[in-house]
Amino acid sequence: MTTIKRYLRAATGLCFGVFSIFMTVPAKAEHSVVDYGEAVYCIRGDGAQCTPQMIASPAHRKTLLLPTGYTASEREVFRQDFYRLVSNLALAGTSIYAGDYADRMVYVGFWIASPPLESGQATFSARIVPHPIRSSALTMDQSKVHKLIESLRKLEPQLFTPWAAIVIYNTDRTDVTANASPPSFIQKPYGLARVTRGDILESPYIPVHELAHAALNFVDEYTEPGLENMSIRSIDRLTPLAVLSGGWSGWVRAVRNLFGVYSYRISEVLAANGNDNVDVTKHPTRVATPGFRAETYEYEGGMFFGRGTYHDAGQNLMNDDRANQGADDGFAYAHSPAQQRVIRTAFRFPYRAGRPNDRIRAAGPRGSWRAEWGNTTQLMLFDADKHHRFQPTVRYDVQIGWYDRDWKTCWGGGVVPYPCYENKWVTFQKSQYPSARNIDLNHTALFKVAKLFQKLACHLGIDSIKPNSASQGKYDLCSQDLDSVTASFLPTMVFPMPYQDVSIPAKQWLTKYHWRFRTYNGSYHSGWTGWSSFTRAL
Amino acid sequence: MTGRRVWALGLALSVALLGIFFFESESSSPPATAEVAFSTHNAQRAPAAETLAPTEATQFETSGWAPVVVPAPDNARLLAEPNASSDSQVAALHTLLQSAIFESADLETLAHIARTTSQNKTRYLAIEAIARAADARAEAILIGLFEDLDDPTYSQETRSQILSSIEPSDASSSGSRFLLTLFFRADLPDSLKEQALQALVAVSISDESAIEVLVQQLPQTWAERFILATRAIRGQS
Repeated sequence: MTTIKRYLRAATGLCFGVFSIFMTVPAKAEHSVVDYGEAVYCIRGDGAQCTPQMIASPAHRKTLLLPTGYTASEREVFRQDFYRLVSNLALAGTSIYAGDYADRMVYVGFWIASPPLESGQATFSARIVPHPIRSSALTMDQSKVHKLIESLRKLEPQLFTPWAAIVIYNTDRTDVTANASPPSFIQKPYGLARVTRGDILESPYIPVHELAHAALNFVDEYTEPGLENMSIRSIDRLTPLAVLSGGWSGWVRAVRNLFGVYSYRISEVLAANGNDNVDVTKHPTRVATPGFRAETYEYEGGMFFGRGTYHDAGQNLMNDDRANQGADDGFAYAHSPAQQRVIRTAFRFPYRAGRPNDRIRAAGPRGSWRAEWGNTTQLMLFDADKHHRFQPTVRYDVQIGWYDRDWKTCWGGGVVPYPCYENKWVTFQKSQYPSARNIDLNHTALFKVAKLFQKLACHLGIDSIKPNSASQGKYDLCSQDLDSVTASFLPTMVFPMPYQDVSIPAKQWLTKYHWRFRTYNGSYHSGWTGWSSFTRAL
Repeated sequence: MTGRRVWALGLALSVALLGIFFFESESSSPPATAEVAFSTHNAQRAPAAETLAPTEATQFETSGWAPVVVPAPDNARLLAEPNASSDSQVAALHTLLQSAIFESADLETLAHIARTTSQNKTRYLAIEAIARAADARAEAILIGLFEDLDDPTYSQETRSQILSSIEPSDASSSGSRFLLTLFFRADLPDSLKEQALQALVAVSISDESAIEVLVQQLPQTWAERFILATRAIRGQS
């Protein structure tokens, strides 16, 4: 029996137990305290014990804490670590989300016995490996965590629908680089953070920072040493080597051919793709929406790069003090205004988006191009909020217009008829729902920037890596020694794309079409983009 | 009746018949949209086309698009007034600069806006729009803007933004040649030269042979930094 099967079986049994407890709670149980037995621990951020009402309430955000490397005799150690972590998160103060909304955050611990980390057989295949840049890194097979959460959710959906999961590694080491996968990158409704028990005991910083990645979808606002003057746009030159996948229809045949026609960039895929605290422009509000002010990200840098990315002013949890650009830049147990907006949205109940999804632009086709055969033309829309954690775009409205010739009979000298026309502006509109679109970055293409990309990918906790063949099994990018990576063992990283294609029946040659679009996020329509145009040239 | 009168009457009748012919075709459906040069050609073919294929508007309607009434684009007017005083006009210009695709013909207009606007945000967005255009002429226009840096309206931030936007295709491109000249300019701070260096490192990502070419053209100190940077990004020791 495999390890995953063993703990899934244990989990299933335990959850039936939990479920039974729920079922026996009296109908009027608002003030009852739920006893989960010894396998499941639950507490609210402010120290209140969990009640059935709290568990059932969508106003409460649930964080799932899972152990790895804790042996069967260390259950009490994990239980204490669980309460220590929750206590530390709240102790970080009311100036950050975990303290400010402590009464809206529920923490659920789920005990699983595991072989020790050193055995190489720990739960979730968790290991501590040499880090590509720093001393050591925490790695695991994330798919095993996803399977466990899915199984638990089926058994007890109210309790096991987390907005984030934190895996605690049973080691006192603090020289291991913690990391987290923002949900928009792993395409899950929750993010995944990894910390050591040493991190928990040392200070609140690492847990609250990593949980901000995993729960709030924030990316780092600091710059990696050595990249202070490198622009994130430097890696855009790799974009033609990427392969569009995951539902792009047959019109996309060769990215290399389309690269000059459509404007999509790896920099946008990495730094303007669902995260709402960093962007690739100083002015993230790309379209004006009446009633909403345009935001400005005062400081350059973020997502590791010192150039080409921008973050809001205000010392905050996602930054550091290495390259402060002003008195209100750098680290503090606090949040920038942009982060505060996201946090307010996350905890607003009933739900309402914090702003329109106004980080949009037209991405092609460019003005005039040699169109492909067929009766349709494909538009590409860029939408940095397509995968927004809390207010994803739910609909696009697209308008297309052109000057039609309104033919009529004119009279020369009042007696001689001749054909003439007036240009008549004609516009049509259609709505379209977002659809999943991915981009595959093959490591072959990335090998030229292997170090840089390994660094980025490992930090983002990207695990959706496809080996070249089934026989190669799982590819753990972060544990690879670059010198040993060979051409026969090159994985592919799959990224969700912040782009949407729209098919339009504009087929006429030599006709200039004008188009624009806007978004709807369930609460607000964004303003319209400016008008773009294209001509299907012969 | 003289021959001239017969000729004139014949011409008038021909034109009249042609007009009636077009009048009939218009009353049913306008011909499909086309460039002016093709108007007569299209108009004459309209009746036949109507029976063979739907008009452009019909095509949209049958594909689920609904007709709406909205004002026609006024991009030219917006771009012509980069220092508009009304908030709504400024917002409309900024929206256009940030969210639309610009054609080659617009690039000089955008550069003019960057040079003449009194608003930092408008300048930033105009430069961003030029860079986003990814047009063959964009790089030369950006370099031209950088060369105007004696103008005090340009800030260090603007210089940095322009440098971030220059993405040379290879070591011999005009962009690379421009970046190489910066290392010999005493008036430029090292931070901008470091930025230029990183842009050259990026060239080496897609063109490995560029490393040797660029090293030979850089001053020695910067050449050493360049080699270290290219090794670091590739994971070479």
